[in-house]
Amino acid sequence: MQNTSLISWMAWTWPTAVFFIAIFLSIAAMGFWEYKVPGGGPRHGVFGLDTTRGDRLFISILGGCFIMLGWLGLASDSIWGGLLVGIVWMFFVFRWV
Amino acid sequence: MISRAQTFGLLAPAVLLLIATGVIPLALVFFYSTHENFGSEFFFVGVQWYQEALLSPDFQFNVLRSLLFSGLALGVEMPLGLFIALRLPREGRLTSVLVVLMVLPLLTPNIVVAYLFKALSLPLYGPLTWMASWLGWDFNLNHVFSAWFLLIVMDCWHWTSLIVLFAHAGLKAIPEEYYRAAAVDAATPWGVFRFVQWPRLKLMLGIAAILRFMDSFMIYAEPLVTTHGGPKNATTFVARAFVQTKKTQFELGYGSAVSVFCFMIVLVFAFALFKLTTRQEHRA
Amino acid sequence: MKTKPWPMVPLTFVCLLLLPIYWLIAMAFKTDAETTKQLTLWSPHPTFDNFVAIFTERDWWMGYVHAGIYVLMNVVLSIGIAIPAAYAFSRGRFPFQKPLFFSFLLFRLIAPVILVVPFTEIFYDIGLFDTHAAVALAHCYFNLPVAVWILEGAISEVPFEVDQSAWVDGYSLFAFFRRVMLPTIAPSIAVTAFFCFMFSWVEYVLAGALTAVHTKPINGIISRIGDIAEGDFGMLAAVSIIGFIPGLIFMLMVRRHLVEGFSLGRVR
Repeated sequence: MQNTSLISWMAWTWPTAVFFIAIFLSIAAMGFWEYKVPGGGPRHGVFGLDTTRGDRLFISILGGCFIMLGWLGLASDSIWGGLLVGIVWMFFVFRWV
Repeated sequence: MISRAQTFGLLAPAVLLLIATGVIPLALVFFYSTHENFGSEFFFVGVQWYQEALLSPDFQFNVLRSLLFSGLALGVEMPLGLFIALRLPREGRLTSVLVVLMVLPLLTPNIVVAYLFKALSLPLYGPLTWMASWLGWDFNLNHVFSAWFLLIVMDCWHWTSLIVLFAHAGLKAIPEEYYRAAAVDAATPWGVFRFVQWPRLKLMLGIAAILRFMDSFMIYAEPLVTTHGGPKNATTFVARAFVQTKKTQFELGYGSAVSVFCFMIVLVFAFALFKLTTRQEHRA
Repeated sequence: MKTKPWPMVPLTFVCLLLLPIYWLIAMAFKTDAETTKQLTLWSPHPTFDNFVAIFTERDWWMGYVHAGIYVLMNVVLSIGIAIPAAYAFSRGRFPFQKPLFFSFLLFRLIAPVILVVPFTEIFYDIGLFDTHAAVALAHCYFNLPVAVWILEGAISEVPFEVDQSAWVDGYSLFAFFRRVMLPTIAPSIAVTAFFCFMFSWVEYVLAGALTAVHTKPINGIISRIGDIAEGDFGMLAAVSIIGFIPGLIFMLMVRRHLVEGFSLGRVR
């Protein structure tokens, strides 16, 4: 069994902290965007789904993760390629889904 | 409707509880999945575990097997459950009795189901084995087909009732007028199904399908107890990976990466469930 | 007067469902030799040995007690916290309402196997390992969503005018809950309690992993004897049958509203 030093704060290494902070920031940003420019209400997209802004954020991030994993599995070692494709995906989702 | 302050107070305990018992353990899984540990020292290793998992044929086959299993289980349970629910009278004493009896398999813990079916499929003297041999089939858990057959039968026995009850609940909610209107229009049975019953059923079956898919994808105890992972690894599924490696302290990362991958799949289905069950229009 | 024919399909289905349960009952009265070496529909020499063992050995019957304790704790906690939250989701409008509801659904879909390792670590570190509270809390991550889900539907079925007239009459929020809302949705609460009970009683991964000597519940004991003595079917059967009883009793108490639970609180 791990001892107590583990949970004292999982030695919050920077990468994990950054990841979580990024997620919370994007959700907060979405909330802020909604507050400033309300709307972005259900919009029928390319996938035949009705999506709100929050939905699109979700789809883009999750899709991005799958793309990056797929990249790792199929293509190469470097995550930067996957990251790039992921970012393209995010633009695609926000524009057309 | 009610004040913001009140809403906050009403929600806070639930949100806090969910964070404490849900978000934090989940975050820990993420953490493990990107770190390597020696004893209680953790080092960030980025996506190493993910790569190892994604590129390992074991993992890939486990995922495929899990998908196949879920597909088969649902392919049997959904139509069967729906069929039974359609034939169940919507009211009546008999129906109430049947409903209560149908809940019994749902009340059975997974391991109990596993040991029960293990007993049913004992070599030579288990009832299932005996019935099979009576039909001329050498039912043996060392054969891939028999192993899979048993697992699917187990899942169906355990969970078909869930589908039946969801569908039944959906059908029960359809007002009598709809049926009368259909009768006035001289609708065929298929017409009745398509226009009166299906719209409501679609929602309930969707929910049931999502719940069942996730649970069957993560099946763990049943294959472990009855087939021990199958002849060789014919019935080794995804969930095996993250528990097997927890026993060895030093492979925490691998199991966690697999867990995160499964979680991503859960997210997809949760999103589908969410879209299915919330209406887009704002209730005033 | 037209008499309805028997619904053969559901009847056959239920009979098929009951067959393995019958087998379970039969096995409990057999010795292991009978189970593994012969095929008999009912034991020629039924024995109560398995049941006697359960009631006389402390570890065995305490297993039920332990399980009952943490399940009860969990049900009370889940429902107690879910009711206000469900009310807020039903009657309130607030930012992030939808994503929050989504999160609740999400956690219901996560299998306990995924969280077993972190839970063990966390509870060990905060000193709650091998306590009932640990399992009760751990089970909250999926039971709270279930409770909120069903109760939100049930509360939404009550017209808002009821709330408004109560406030006009001068009820405080708390009194409103106690005197008006809760009695109205009492059947739904009962059904929700049953579902939470069911999911918690049936769960064994976390219940087994988070407990050790002091609080080993019945499911943990089953998986342990299964590991050690692969053939002790009689015991396993007897233990399982007794395990059915609390659930059965609870279910019979709420049977009239059972279907309502499956339609997630919404009757319409």
